[in-house]
This record gives sequence, structure tokens and C-alpha cells, in this order.
Amino acid sequence: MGLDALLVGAEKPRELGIALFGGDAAARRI
Amino acid sequence: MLRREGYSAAIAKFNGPDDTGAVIARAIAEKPRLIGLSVIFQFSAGDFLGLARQLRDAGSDAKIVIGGHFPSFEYEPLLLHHPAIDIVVRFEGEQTILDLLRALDSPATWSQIPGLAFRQDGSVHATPPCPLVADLDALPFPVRDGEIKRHRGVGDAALLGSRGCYHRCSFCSIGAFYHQPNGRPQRMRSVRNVVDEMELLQREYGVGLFIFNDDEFFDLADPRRPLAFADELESRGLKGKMFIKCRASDVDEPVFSRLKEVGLIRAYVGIETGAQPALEVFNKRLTVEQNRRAVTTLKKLDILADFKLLLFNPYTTLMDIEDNLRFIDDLAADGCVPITVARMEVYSGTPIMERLRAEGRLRGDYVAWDYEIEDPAAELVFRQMLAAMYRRNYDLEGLSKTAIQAYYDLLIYKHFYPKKYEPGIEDALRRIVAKLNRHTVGVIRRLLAYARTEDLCDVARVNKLTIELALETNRVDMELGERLRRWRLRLNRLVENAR
Repeated sequence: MGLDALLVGAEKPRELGIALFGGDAAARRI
Repeated sequence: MLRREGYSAAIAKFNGPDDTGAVIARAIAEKPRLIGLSVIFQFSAGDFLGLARQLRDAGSDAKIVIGGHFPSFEYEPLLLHHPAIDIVVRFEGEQTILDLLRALDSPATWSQIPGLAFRQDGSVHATPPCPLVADLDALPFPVRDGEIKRHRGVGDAALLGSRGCYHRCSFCSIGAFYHQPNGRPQRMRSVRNVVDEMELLQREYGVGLFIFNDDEFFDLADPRRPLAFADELESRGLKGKMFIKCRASDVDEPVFSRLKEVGLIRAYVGIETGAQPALEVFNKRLTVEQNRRAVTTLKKLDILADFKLLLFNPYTTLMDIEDNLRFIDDLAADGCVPITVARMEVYSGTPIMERLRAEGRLRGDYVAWDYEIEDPAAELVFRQMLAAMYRRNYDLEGLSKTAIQAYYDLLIYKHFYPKKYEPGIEDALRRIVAKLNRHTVGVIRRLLAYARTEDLCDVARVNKLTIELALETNRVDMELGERLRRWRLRLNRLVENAR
């Protein structure tokens, strides 16, 4: 019998507090 | 929550495509009936969608469920364009995922479960949102399977003392996420329940640093809560350090002074901008004066005041940019914190997205919304800034992020090894960061000067200036990066000696 649920998530970078990301839209402009 | 109800559940980390192989290996070996993908940040949605596709290609026949802020709003295109995704759980997911597991093999009953979206007869069907969890104390503490990390001898853990936020900042997906379902948008755990979890984390895992990731640490309805929290920590003799996140209007000197006594060493403050018109666009319901006072108070108390500046929004003027530069000059030219400057990005579900759509200015698509700034001069400054300083401001290896990591290391050394603390190391870091901040301001001032007086359409001159500034920024970043590397070696030696 396998697992019922495997929950997958990203770790929050602890050092950064809140990181600002350009998102794809801003990066596409370069 | 699932385990308490008798289900077997495990957690896997997925920080990006590098973790794909490990997640797939677990999915194949452990054969879960359901794979839940938690997508909090819109920028990582593409990675998660890629993972879902590869899980399917690798032969997993689990129901693939996606949830979080972004999928809660964009469930329709996600389900229409991504066949690997079976189900979207919208808004807070604890109860919904439990109901779903009970009914996983009977899709005909899914329409009875609040908070779900799924494909049905070729179109997308969504049930009404599940009400928000009213009593957070009733939830079990988060599972910590192997999660506690140690950094320079100090164990740290992220935790939440509350959920949600009462405010409706126009750019923020948190306000949007918690205002749509029924229930109070901000809910607090009891002080006692939070400190119980902290005690457990310290006792079982040796945690010394508690990182509160609350959307908003302070309770609008109960200004005495932080003081009760401090009293509870003190009465139980719990010794630890804390990071919190809050609004500028929360920073009250007596309250923060008290929180400092019980371990507060860093506060991330949602300053967002040093320009009043931009605060209005963001619907922050704050004044620049409040922002200034918050940073000044934290500096006075020697609590790291961490903040970023959204220099650009759809309505930014050159005057707004100038106001922000003055804000940095006045508050961060001393290098007290590295300043990241960036553009407000458009998140799904937010009031600003609806405003841009109504104005016919929303570009891009649900994976990455985009816009152009109304004032072409400000749009030009943004594009040039991006080209000249992308790595510095946005890249994870860029200087503004490596510098804030250095501050993190400094705080660990300063507050966990106080007996061996050498203050000179802080001054050295400040000097590096001061130069970084001043340079950022200088570059943007030169862009502003051009945008104010010169021909915006003279492509050759615009490009020449941008390239000049990019090369100069690169030189400065190389120099400061090297100084930061040597600073870190010095810190390593000091911490080694102190341990």
C-alpha cells in the first residue's frame, strides 16, 4: 500500500526575508 | 492534519527544476494516491507545471492537485492548458484536501466539496470556496520531518502565529487571497498556542531562531497581543531570537523595545516606496512619514530594519523615483540594510490587475502579467535600470541578495555569540553596503537626469548611457563582491573562534 499523499513545496529562503523577483515579464525585456 | 485523520502523508521539497529527479523518484517508489503541489509564488508556477508534466510522463498515476495563491485565482487556464493537473484546491486547503482524499476515487462527488476546481465534460467546474479556518489553534502544529536546519551552530524554524491580513494593498495577492472566502481575513493563534510550538521546537529540535512568516505579525484588533506574547515568552523562560514581518504603522517604539527584550532581532517592514503617490496607488493607507519613522525607530533600537523598494508601478512619475532616491539617501546611505529596487509585478487576483485590465493596459498572460508605465520617461528609466542592474537587484547570486545574506550571518554571530562579538565586523559590512546603496542611487539619478532633459527616442544615446552604466555597475559589483567574500572569511574565523 503506497502513501495517501505526497505534498510538494518550495522552501522559503530564510536569509532573504522577502525576495523580490522580476518575474518572467520583466526578465523578457532584457 | 492528514496524519491526524489517519492518512499517510509525506513532504518533499521542490525548490526548482534541480529537485525534479528526487520528487519523481519518491512519487514512483512511494506510489502516493495524491500529489499536492503548493505554489505560493507566481514566479515559480512554471517550474511546478513542468514537474507535474514530468511526473505524468514518468508514469505516476496519482491525482495531481495544485494549490496556493496563484492557482486559487488562475484555476481556469491552469486546468484548461495543463492536462497533467487534475484538480486545483482553492484558498486555504486543509479541509478541502481532507475531503478530497476521502472522495478521491469518486469524481462524481467532487462537486459537493467546497474549494475545488476540476475539469468536467470539457469545461472547468469550480465549487464555492471553503470558509477560512476560524480557529487556528485547532490545527495541529506543522510537521517538521527532517526540516530543522542548523546554520553556524544555530537551529532555525519558520512558523506562523497568524494567517492573512486585513488590509487591501492593491498589488498584494495575500489580501486578495484572504478576502474572497467567507471568514475573517486575519486570524491569530492564541499566544499560548504559539509559544507552545516554540517551546516544542526548542526542546525537540534545538531551535534558537524563530522566523515568523506571518503575512502580518500584528493584530489590528488587539494592540496588546505582542505584549502578551512577550510576557508569555518571559514567564516560560524561553530564550530565542526572532524575525517578524509587519507594516510600517506597527512599528511602535515601546512595543518593539519590549519585543527586543524577548529576542526580536530583525523586522521585515512592508515599506514598498518612499513616494506618497505610489503609496496611494498601492492602497497602503500609510504616509511616507510613517515609513520613515518605522525605519528610524528600528535603527534606534538596533533591530535590523529590512525593506525593499518598489521603485516602479504602472503610474510612476519621475518625481516618485526622485522621492525614493531621497528616501534611500536619508535612511540607508549608511549601509544599514542593502536596498533592492524593483518594479511592482502584477499578481493574479489583485485589485491592481483588475485596474490595469479595465484600463486596457494589462499585457502578457496568466503565467506572467506585464504592463508598461504610463509615463514613457519613467518606463525608459525602468528598462535602463533593468538592463544595467538586473543581476544586482534580481539575481539570487546578485549583490543585493548576497549582502542581505551577509546581514543574516552577522545577526547570527552578533546575537548568538555575544561574548565574543567584535563590533568592527558590523562596521565593515556597513561600509560595503553603504557603497552599494549609494551606487544604486547614483546610477538611477543619472538615468533620471537623462529622462528629464534628453530625447527619449534617441536610441543610440539611450543605449550608450545604458551600456556605460551596466559596465560601471558590473565593475562596482565585482569589487564589492570581492570585499564581501573577504568579509565572510573574516566572519567565518570569528564564528569558529566563538563556538
